[in-house]
Amino acid sequence: MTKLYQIYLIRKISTRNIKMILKKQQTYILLLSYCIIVTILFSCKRQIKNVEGINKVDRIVQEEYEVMFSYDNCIKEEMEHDSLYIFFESIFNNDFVEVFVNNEKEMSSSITTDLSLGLAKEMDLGKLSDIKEVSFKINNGKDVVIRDFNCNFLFVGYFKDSLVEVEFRNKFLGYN
Amino acid sequence: MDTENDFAMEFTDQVVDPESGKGISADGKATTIGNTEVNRMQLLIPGKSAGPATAVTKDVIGINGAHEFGHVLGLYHQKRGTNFSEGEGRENVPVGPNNLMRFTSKEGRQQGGVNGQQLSILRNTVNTNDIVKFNKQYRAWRKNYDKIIPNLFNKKN
Repeated sequence: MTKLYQIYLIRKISTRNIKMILKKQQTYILLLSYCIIVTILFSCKRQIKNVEGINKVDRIVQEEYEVMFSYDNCIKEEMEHDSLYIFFESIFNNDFVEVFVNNEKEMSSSITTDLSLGLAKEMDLGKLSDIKEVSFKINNGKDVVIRDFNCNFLFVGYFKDSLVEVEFRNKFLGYN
Repeated sequence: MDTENDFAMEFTDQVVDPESGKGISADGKATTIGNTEVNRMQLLIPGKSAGPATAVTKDVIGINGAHEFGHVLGLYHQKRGTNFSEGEGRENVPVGPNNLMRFTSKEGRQQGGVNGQQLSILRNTVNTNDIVKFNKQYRAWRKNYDKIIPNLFNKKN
């Protein structure tokens, strides 16, 4: 009888054990799958972060260029317009340009030269009498600051990574 | 005007950017460089001005039109600061100071015509696939014809 009881007990314990083990296994499996899911999600998030990082880095890249100014014989009294215009000509190819008037941002976008015109972007910056300072930068390079306004028109030429040309003129011929 | 199928020259009181439809400070514009089948050439009419520019006069309409035709036929302006053409593969094409395809600048409007290298570009652009096919067929036919006719004559003789 005692033997039988012993066997019964052993069986009971072993089934309990098995159940316990199974339960444990299930929890392990659950834990493991949870971990896997979390790792996958985390890695995805990291990847997205990296992509954003790359974009940011691209925009943060500071381009180095020299700035060359050339002035036409602009005489204030001979000005035909009261406004100041800026023309970004060639050769822009998806280059990020920011324009500020009196330290307020007027434009920030990527521009590309239309080769059939030789023009990438034109802007009317407003009344000359209201403008104290105009500045712009290309691909987060150094600020090109203009404070002397004897001409109505500013023309900007750009050679990637090397030179920015700013030309002051009072005469303007339509692009074609 | 059907901008996706037509080839047209449009005389307008304002030149617009074909993509945005916004007015631009231009007195002429060809939509696509080097497309002789579908294109839109816009030309500002006399008396109208391109943005802050002075009004266009009758005497410049002809040269503006020719300039836009130059673009349609595959010609580019000069590259900034050089006397050579813009455009991939066109870097060695000279665009001197007296050239129809000169970029408008403080030097003034375009004057003069096109040079030999530009002419050969024009010829290549106009040589569309259909013309090439026609020329091939014509040459093949001519080859056969040249064989048959002398044979006929030889038989007669």
